[in-house]
Amino acid sequence: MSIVIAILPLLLLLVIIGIASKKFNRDLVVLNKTKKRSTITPKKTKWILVGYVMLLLGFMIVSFSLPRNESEFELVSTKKEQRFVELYKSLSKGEQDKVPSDLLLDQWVQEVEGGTFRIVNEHSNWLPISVLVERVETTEQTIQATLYDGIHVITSYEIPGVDKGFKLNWENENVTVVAHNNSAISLSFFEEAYLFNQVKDNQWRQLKHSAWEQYPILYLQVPNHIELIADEHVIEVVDK
Amino acid sequence: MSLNEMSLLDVVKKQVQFKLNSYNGIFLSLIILQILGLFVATLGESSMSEPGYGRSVSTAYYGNGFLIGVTTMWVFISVLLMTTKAYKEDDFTFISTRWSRLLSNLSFTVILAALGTVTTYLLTHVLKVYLLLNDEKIIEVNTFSFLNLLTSLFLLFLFLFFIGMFGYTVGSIFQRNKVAAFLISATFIFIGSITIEANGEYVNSLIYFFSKETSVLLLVIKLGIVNSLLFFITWVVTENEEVRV
Repeated sequence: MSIVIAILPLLLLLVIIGIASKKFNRDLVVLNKTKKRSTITPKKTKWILVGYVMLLLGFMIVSFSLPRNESEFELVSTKKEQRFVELYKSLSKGEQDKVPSDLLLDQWVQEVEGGTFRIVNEHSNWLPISVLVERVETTEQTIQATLYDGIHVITSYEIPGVDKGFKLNWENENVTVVAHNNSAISLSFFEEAYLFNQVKDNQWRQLKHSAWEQYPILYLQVPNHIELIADEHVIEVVDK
Repeated sequence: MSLNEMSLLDVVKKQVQFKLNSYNGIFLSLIILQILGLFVATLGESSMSEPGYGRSVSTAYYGNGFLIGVTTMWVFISVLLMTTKAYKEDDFTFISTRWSRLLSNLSFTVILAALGTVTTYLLTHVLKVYLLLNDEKIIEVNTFSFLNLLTSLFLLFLFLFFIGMFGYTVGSIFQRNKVAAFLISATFIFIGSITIEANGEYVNSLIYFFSKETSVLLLVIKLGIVNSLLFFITWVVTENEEVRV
């Protein structure tokens, strides 16, 4: 049924072309009156076309001479994107040792005075970071915290500053995640048509109009005897 | 009977010259369509926005796809018009044969495709100038090396010529037999409504044959074969049409 519906407008278009073509055949008689009125002669048309092409050539010269400023956004390799995917996979399985050291932003130990640890977020159901919690068997009153880098990619270009979009406020047994209100970012892309990209050498890449973000990951190793209080929607407990 | 014996090449040359001089409207319509296309292209092909809590990102995509589309449409319609009775009768101004008429129309199609290729490429620069003046930080994706540029323009030319050939064949069939034209069009629409899955992407079955080819040589061969086939169909369809009816 959907095929039939899809075909209908096209059939209508064909009928219109058919009727127009028939009418065009019948009516295309250049009247003397029309002939005399027309001021566009073949010679004029030739010069209009030459003028048009010359104008376009002028624009081409201007286009090449205009300066191209360095963009603040960098093209991300698929390999780099994959590293961040692997980072999350490894951490969600508690395999911190498999994470490359260059993705580590910060590492510290937090003393906890009472028997509880609370993760507070300023926004309901949303955090500007991913929080992974691993429960560890220890008698110590400390929490091992590790912060890993994140990435924000739009159409294969990295948007910088993903690690600056938040702040962690530690106070005894509480950690509050505060999101910074960053200014709006706007990007403009100019992409040659698919036909131009179709036969490409290895250096070319077909960009996909996509967006994905992996927030920085806060990995917490919380002792088993400390009670964890957090919104279960915004944290993930590591299952080793 | 004429005392001067004209060669086929002479007749074709004269017919092409005649078409270039008399079909003013075709060239003027290219300029008008491309200027209109340029206005639409400045609006962008698509946009995306991520409101987000922390930061919002808005993305705009520009490209020359619409300009190519407009030029493709122009080639198709112009060539389709050449098959109409009125244009066909222009050819009887000359002592011509089916061969000379076909060859002159094909030569004219080649000229249209070449003009379309050059103007589309140049018009892309007008768009770039506008965008660069608007936003100097625009990211130009996949910029060309000279060799890439030549290859791409050659492919664009072949593509436009193919569309022209397709238009000429469709037009010839339309002029010959309306029922056959309807059936063939319906078949194309039916095949066109079928999509094929390739590497997780859904591609229209009509363009799959060309769009997934990444080798220049194979693409040229494919286009050559299809164009030859279209030429053959046109040759068969236009049989017994060398005289005014």
